[in-house]
Amino acid sequence: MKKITALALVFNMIFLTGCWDSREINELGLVMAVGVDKKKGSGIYTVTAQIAKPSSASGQGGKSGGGDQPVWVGSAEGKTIFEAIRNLAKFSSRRIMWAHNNIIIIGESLAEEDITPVVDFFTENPELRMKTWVAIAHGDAKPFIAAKTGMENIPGISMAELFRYHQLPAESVATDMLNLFRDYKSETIQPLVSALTLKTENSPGGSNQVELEGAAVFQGAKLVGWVSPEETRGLAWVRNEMKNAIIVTSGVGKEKQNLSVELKGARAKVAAQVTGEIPSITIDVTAKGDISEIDSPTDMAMSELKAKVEEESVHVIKREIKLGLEKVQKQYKCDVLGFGRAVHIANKDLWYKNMADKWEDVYPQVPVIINVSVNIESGALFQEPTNIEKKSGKD
Amino acid sequence: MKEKIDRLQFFFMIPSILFGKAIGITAGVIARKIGADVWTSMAIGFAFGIIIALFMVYICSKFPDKTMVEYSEDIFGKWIGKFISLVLGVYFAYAFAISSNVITLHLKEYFLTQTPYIILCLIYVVLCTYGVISGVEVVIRFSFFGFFMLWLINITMILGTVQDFKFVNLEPILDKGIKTNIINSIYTFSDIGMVIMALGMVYPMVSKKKGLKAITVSAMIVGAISVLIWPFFEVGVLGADVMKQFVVVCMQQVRSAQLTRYLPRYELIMVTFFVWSMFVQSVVMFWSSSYCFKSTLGLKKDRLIVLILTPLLVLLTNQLGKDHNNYINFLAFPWSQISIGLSIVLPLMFFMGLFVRKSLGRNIGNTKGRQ
Repeated sequence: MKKITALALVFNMIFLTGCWDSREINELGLVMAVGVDKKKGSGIYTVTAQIAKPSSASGQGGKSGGGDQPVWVGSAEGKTIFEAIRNLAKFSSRRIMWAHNNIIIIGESLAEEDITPVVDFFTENPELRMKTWVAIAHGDAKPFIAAKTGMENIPGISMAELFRYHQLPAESVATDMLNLFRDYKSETIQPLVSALTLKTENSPGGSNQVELEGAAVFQGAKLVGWVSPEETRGLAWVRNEMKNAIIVTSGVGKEKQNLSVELKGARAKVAAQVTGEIPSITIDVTAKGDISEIDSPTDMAMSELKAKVEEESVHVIKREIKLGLEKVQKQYKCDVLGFGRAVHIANKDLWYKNMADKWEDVYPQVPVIINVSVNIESGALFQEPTNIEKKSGKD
Repeated sequence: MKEKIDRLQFFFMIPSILFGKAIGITAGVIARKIGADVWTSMAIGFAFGIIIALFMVYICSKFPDKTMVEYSEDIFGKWIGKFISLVLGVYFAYAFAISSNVITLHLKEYFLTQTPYIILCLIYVVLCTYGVISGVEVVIRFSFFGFFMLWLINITMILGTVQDFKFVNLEPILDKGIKTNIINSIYTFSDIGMVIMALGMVYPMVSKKKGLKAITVSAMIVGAISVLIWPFFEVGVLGADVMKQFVVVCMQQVRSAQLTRYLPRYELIMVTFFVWSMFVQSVVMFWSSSYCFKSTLGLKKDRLIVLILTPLLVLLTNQLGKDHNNYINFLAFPWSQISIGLSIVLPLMFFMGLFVRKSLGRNIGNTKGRQ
C-alpha cells in the first residue's frame, strides 16, 4: 500500500507541476487597456493594446531609465479579433495576458456595425474579468489607447478610475462587461454603454485627455446614436445609476440664486400599468440631499429655502428625465430603460401573447408618467443659509 | 459493516454530495429550459427530493446493517439482487464520472486550458482512488470541513456580487408557470439522485441510527438552501439569458464577483473552497460503485475492484467530459431521467417487495450485513 501511495505521489508531483500551463510573469505582457476597431465595410479588425512595462510602470525607472514610457502600445490587424491579437505576437516580445485589463474600448464604426464579436471574444476568454470596463469611443478606439491621459503612470488605470468616480459629475454611465453582456442578451432591455471622447481643452498645453461623458445607445448589437451628458443624467436616474450626484438648481427665491444640491440615496422604480392596447409606464424617483453651495446671500430661513430647493430639484430631475426619454423613446426607439421588462413583470401572459413580438412598435407610443420626490435634509454644515449681517456704510 | 461514521458526519455528508454540481452545472441546464425560473424549479425539485430521501431512509431503517445492494438480494432473491447491484454499479460509475467532470471542467476551462484533459481526469481519479483506498468513512468524516468551506463560498460569493444583484432579473416569479416549473424540476434529480442512492449505501455505516430520518430531512433542507442561494444570485446578477450561455455557470458567477477592488479575482478561491465537498461526492460515488461491482462479481478484495475500476473511470471521465457540450447534453438527457427513475422506482420497489414479503409472512429485516 505504501508503495502505491508513494508512486501516486510521485506521479502527481510530475503532473501537477503545471508544465502545460506554466507562464512566467517576466514573459507576460499585461494588457492595461485594449481598443478594437473595424472600418465600415471592411472585414479587418484592428486591435490596439496598451501593455505595461514593469520597470517603467513602477515609477522607479530601473535599467531602462526614467525617461522610458511606462506602457507599450501595439496594434495589429486580423480577420477576427483573435487573429489580430495573435498577430500582435509578431512584434510583441511578451505573450499577451488579459487578466489585468482595465478597459475595452470599441471604435464607433465597429459599434455601428455590430459589437457581437467583441462581446463574444471577451466573455469567452476566461482570463478577462467580467468587471472590466467597456466604453464606446467617439471615432476610432486606437487614439484613446495611445493617449497619455490622467495622473496615473499607466493611462489604462487612469481611464478605469474615470469609471470609478463617474458618479461625481454623473454625466455618464459606468458599463462593465457583465452589464453589457446582460443587456446585450436580454430580450427586454437594450444596452446603454459608456462613451469616451478625446479632449485637449481639459489639459492646457498638455496632451489629449480621455473624458467619460454621455453614453452610446444600442439597438441589440448595433450603436444607433449618442446621448448628451444631460440626457445621460436623465437616463441614469431611471436606471438607478445616480447614487451620489449633484444637481444645480437655478432661480431659487427672489434672488434667483443658483444652488448645488448633493443628492444621496436616489432610487427609481419603473412600473407598468397594463389596461388597454398600449401599456403605460410610471417612473417614481425619490432622493435625499443636502444643500452644498449657494451662490449669493439670501434672506430666506432654512426651512423656506429647503422647500424652494426641493421644488426646484424636482423640476430639474423631471426635465433631465424627459430629455433622456425623448431621445431614446421617440428618436432612437431603443428601450434602454427596461420598459419592456416592466410590462413583462406587470402582466406576463399579455407580454407573451401580444406584446413581446411587437414591442419595438409599441414602445415609442407608451405614455410615461414621471413622479419625483426630493427631500432636502440639511444645509450641509450650516444652521442658517449664508446671509450678510453686517450693515452697509450708509446704515 | 466495519466502516463507521457518526450522525453528525452523516448530516454533513448530505449537503456535500448535493452541492458541487448543482450550483453551476445543473443550474445552467435548468436555466436553458426555463430561464429565470431556475431557482423556483430547483426549489420544487428539492421539495420532492426531500420526501423521496426520507422514504429511502425509511426503507434503509428496515435493514439497519445492510446496504441496499445486500437487501435487494434479500428482498428479490440472488439474481434480481445481482442485477440491481450491477445497475447501481453502472449508475455510481457514471455518477462518479459526472462528479469528476465538475472539477476537471472547472480546471480545464478556467485555469489549466493548455493541459490535456485526460491528464486532469487521471490526476483527479487517482486522488479519488487514494480516498477510496484510505476508506470512504475517512473521507465522509471531513464532510464537516467540506460543509464549512461550501458556506465560505456562499458567503464570499454573496459579498462579491451583491452590488450587481438586481431583483428585477428574478421577476416575474414563476414566469413560465407552475406546471413548467414542476416538469423541469426533474433535472435537479441528477444531484438529488446521488444523495438518495448514497443514502442506501452509507446508511449501515452510521453507528447510532436513532433520529436519522429527522437528520436526513434537516440535512436535505440545509443542503437545498446552500444550493438555492446560487441560482437565486446567478439570476439576480448574471440574468437568465447570460446563464444560458455558459457551461459552468457558477464559475461565470464568481468571474463576475469582486471582493473589493483589492481582490478583483475570485475564481481560484472559489475552486479551493468547493473542491472539498466535491471530493466527498466523488469518493462516495466511487466507493459505492466499487461496492456494487464487488457484490455483483462476488469478489472479496476491495482493492482489486478499486484498481480495476480506476483506469476505467479515468477513461469514462475523459470520454464524458472532453466535449463539454456533450457532457451537458448528457446531463439534460438521459442522465436526469435515469436519476429520477432510479430515485423513485428503486425505493418503491424495495417498499413493495417488503410489503409482499411481509404479506407472505417472511421476515427478512434486521439480519446481519455481509461486512
